[in-house]
Amino acid sequence: MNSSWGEITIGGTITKTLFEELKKAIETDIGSCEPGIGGWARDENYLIFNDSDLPGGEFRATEELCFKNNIPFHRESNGEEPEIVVFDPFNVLMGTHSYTINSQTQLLTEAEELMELRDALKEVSITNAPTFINDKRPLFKRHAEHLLSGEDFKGFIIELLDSYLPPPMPELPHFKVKGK
Amino acid sequence: MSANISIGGDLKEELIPLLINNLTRDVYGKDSGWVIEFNKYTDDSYFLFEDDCVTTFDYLEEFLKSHEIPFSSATSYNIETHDQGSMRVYLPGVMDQVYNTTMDGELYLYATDLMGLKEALKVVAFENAALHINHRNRTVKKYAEHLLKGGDPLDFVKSIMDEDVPPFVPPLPLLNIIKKVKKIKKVKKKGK
Repeated sequence: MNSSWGEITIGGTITKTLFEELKKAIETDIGSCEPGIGGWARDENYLIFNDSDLPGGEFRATEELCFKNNIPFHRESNGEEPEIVVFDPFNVLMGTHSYTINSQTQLLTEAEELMELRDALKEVSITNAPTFINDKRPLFKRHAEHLLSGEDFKGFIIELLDSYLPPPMPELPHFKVKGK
Repeated sequence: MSANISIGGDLKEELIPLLINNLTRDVYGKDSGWVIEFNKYTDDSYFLFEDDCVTTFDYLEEFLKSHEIPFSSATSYNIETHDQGSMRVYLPGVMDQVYNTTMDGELYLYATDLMGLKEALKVVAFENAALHINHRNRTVKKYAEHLLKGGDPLDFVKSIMDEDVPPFVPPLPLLNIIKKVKKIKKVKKKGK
């Protein structure tokens, strides 16, 4: 696996002991966790590290420790497939999610189904819906059936957008060391 | 990094040398002396050309568009620079659309505005629309304004989908080379 750039942002409240373990994990991943060395910065609210020589752009030891101890993090990397991974154990809707991004960090989503949905919304109406109920394009058929059922369209669209789009990116809780 | 182009539709035979000139210019540069054989890259369906070193077919695409010849071109994702891949489909009078592609060649869209639409539908209703007219997300704000103006929610969804989602990729029409028909001159017989 090629080495790539990656940046991890750590949030949440952790104990002093866990903070020491976290520093060791960071050292394992990028060789140092000293300020100014190994490319790390601590902003007002989060602990942030970055490095340009990470296998696949991942902070393997750090992320493993975070998963094991429920420490929320956000990692951006430009490996073979650029992505943002968000782990937010306290957000029941989130858990872990991997967002596909491009080199300008814009969030991406697969287009095929959305393109079919767009065309279905444009072409199928209440007046011509019966002609689409046996359509081989699944979303044309579903939209036609939905229109004929007379049910509220919002629920239908939200259900589809939920399945085709990534969840909103949560803001991580601020980083704190308990008892410090 | 590689690029490919497929050409279909009606193509006048006399345009083939010009088409090849433009393709050669894209692949080898101007006055390279290289020649690309048209027939080598043509099958029963399309003219298909692919090259590992080419990143765009700018001259050829411009030429095809100026003669209203349908084409579909694609540039692959660049693994070194992470430049995104893209696909352009030109169908005269129907569409000239650029689609973004991932490393696997899958089409993708920018998700942020569509995520805003999803949020708008979830949180905004006519009863609370007034509370969202200053929302930080522009789609949520637009939806609240639309509802307050008495707009239909479905029309709003359609307009956002129309703006942010390209149409489904239609198939390219098959290549049909139109040969020049030579007019047969009538020769008057002597003495008539």
